[in-house]
Amino acid sequence: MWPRLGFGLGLRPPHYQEVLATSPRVDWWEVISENFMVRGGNPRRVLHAVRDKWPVVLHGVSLSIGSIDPIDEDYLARLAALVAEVEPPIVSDHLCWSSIGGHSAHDLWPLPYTEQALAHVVARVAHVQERLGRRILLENPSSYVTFSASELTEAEFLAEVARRADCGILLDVNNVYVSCKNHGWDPQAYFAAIPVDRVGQIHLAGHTDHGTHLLDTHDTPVHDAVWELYRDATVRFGDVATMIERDDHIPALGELVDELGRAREIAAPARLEWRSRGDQDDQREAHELAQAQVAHA
Amino acid sequence: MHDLAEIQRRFYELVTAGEGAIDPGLLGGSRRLDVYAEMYVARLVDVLADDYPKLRSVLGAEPFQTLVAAYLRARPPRSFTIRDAGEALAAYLETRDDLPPWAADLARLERARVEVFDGPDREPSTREDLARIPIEEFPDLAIELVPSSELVPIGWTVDDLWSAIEDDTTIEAPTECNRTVLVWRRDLGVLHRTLDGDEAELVPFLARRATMAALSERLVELEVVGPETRLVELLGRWLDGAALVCS
Repeated sequence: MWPRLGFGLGLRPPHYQEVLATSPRVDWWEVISENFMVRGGNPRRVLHAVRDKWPVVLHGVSLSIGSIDPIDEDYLARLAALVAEVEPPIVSDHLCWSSIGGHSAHDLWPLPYTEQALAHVVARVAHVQERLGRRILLENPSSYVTFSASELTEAEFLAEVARRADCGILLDVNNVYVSCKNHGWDPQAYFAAIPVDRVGQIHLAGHTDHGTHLLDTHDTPVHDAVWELYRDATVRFGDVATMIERDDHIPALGELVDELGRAREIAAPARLEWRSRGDQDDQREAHELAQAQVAHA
Repeated sequence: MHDLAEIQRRFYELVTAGEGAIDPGLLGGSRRLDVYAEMYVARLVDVLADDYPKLRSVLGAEPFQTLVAAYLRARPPRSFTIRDAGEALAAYLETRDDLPPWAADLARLERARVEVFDGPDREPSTREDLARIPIEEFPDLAIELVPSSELVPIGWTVDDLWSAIEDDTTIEAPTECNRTVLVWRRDLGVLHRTLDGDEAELVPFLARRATMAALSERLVELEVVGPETRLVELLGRWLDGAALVCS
């Protein structure tokens, strides 16, 4: 249903040269869409060179899918142009809002999980998908507040958006961990509420412990507790394209490739299990089809 | 508070006020609104520090942070891309009587460098390209600046200030001047150069595309001694700098 891309990294400027010169063991790259909505120069040159060698997925931060502002059609046109140019296997953004009154906060603000917000987001996802001519994935945010108005849990809300709008889910396991710690939620219950067939990509990242709360900082290696949660995620969601995000204190590329190796190791048993399950499903389907054809004849 | 629009407006007010105030009608059990308030400013301070490194250097980290916070209140970002968050900083600085009068010029220069960094691509012409053009076609030859270029008029010697900070040499307070700085992209790097007097008169023509004949006439009007020789000299300078496109 979703492309099984393997294991990827976020493509970041400090690594541009090395990525192109050394072709590291990375199956695919994720880029921040907005960083490449420019007219020329080095970013676009690198994007094209990387795209020639690897699959590149687009991950946006400015769709503001939950905002009460009208969708920025200029932004959407630029995203559509980038999608046409890059032909990414996956296009994603966040379940959040970041603009109001024409002002852009450049942050990922949480939504109240109400029926009203649900209907609002579903309609906007439908519009975006129609405009792009393809399905998108929405990522669960990390958050530091909850709203008194919320009627659904975050996982229920995200699942319902995916079902009603027929979009996918980008499951950020670090965000699940951070938000569950901050709000006293149960990560296993969170996973259980997410429909397996909607998860098209997984994010891993680091966070910082501020004592009173965890902050989603993307400036450290993935924490052990998040790796453990990732193991659970692979068991539940199977062979899902997985990548590590690092946006600050960016280490040498080799370090990130090694860290990605840990993701490969953790996911390996579940991937085998899911692949064999998939093969069995394929065989069963083929058998049923053959039987149906015999009966029809 | 239950309405989505009302919730978003209230959240925005509280976060951008920067006080981390809590509205009990808005929030549930988790109330770390201060995290959002801090991140809103901190993220944009980081971005503007990258875009205006010399301004930050000369003002100091803390005053720069205070400046950005005030700028965000006065001119909240309106673009979907964080790249444009600082685009109105120079205009904002012109409204600030309490800051050095040259700060806006420095910001303008630094902003131009951001703009040309990822501006449109176009292959610059070379001396070899020009050598292939028959001499009789020279008067009608149209030349223009590469599209990733900007002319920045400055009223203070912030070009010298920029260089002093870059080269880590003695910084002197800018003085009043009347100069034009050409900012352009060569290969993947951004360069800038203060234009000579007659060059500053000609380059605006290049920004609009001009023929060699028109440039030559302009040098005559400026009463430049040896206008043809001077034009060839300037042409060589622009071509060697990869700043020119001939067509």
